[in-house]
Amino acid sequence: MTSEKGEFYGHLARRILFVAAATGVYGAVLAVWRSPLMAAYVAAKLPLVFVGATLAVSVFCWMAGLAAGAELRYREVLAAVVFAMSVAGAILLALAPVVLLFVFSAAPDSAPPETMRLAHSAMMLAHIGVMGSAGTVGVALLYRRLRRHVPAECRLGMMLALWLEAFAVVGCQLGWIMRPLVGSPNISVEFLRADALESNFLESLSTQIIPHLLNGGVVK
Amino acid sequence: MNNETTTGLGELLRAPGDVMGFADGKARCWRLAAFLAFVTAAGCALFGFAVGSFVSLEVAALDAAKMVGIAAFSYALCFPTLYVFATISGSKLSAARLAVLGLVCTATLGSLLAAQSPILWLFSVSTENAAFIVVLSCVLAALSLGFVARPIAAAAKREIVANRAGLYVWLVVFAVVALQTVTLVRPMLAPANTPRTPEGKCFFLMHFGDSVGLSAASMQ
Repeated sequence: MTSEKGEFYGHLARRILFVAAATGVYGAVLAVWRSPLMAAYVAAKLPLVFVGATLAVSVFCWMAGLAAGAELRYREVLAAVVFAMSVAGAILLALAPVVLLFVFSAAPDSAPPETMRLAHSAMMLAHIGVMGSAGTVGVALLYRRLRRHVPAECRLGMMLALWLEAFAVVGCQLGWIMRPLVGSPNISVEFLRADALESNFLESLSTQIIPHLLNGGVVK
Repeated sequence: MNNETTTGLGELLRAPGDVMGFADGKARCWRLAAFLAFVTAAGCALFGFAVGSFVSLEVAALDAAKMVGIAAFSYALCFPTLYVFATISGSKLSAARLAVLGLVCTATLGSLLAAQSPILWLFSVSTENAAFIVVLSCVLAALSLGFVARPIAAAAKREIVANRAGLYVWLVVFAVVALQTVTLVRPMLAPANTPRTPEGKCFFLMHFGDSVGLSAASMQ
């Protein structure tokens, strides 16, 4: 029993290490357009966002699972969410060379401030889209896998929708706290911003990023 | 000719699933990969030649070489995506056999590009409107890309992958990377020593938009 437990946690640790390594590589690629130092910072921060979000939502996921009738133990839920994150990590790792091509051939080095701000907003939304899609595919694969392990009366779709929502909200907010990730062109490179804990992601998305893109980069 | 050890262009277009079946042995796998890479390169070279014929014979030769480079670079850059997406879609193939599956797709694309090259060449040598050639090239390339759905469907039918979604996403990524690589090696429709416009980094949508817009404006 003890060796079985040890094997389980060993496997889990390997998966978490994989997630950290894969998201570290993607993080470096994501931020290298600003500077190598920024790439190094984000290579360290993005794994914290992914692994942190996974661990932070695991208790909620376990409770949502109980409420949905999944009858899963906490460690089974933990293994499931880490599985979803490792699928997302594999997708991000596979897309890293593609993103690197766009960073080196499309992201502007120097341009008027408005153009740089527009490029930054577009890149931020593109990366959120890529990471969100990778996470969604991870959860979709998890659905297929869990279908075989939960009782037939379990509302699996609802449960995974809740999990996905929790991942999205916690992941985005952790990413927001860990700013700068993409690296705003008008702010100097730093590991964490002084105002890291003073606002939230949803507020900024609705009041700054989307209006900015809709106005074609013009600040009103 | 022994039908079990040889495969031809007709087989590739008629029954792409059978061609994938040839990749069983290691030696046959390499032979098949070489054949498919040759078909891809030849098709892309012919298409590039037809595009460049708009300017001169020298540019046609240069564009033929560029197109082969674009295809090879895009395929190499997207191979990790193919491996991960195919595996997520239920494939249990080794990396080598997945490379053959990808080459079946690119060879199908190359065959169709080669087939449409005479049409493009006819328009290239008989029109002065660069915007028209850009649009026609894109339409013909998109049409060729549409035919890649056949080998993907064949892969699903032979149960190489459980569902097609992952391979379709790979195809979209491949197309986007190829377009960005075309932008990277610009200009393709200008004399050999023409400076790149715009200089430096450029996103493919901007480049194609500018190419069509500027050419159309110069016609007025």
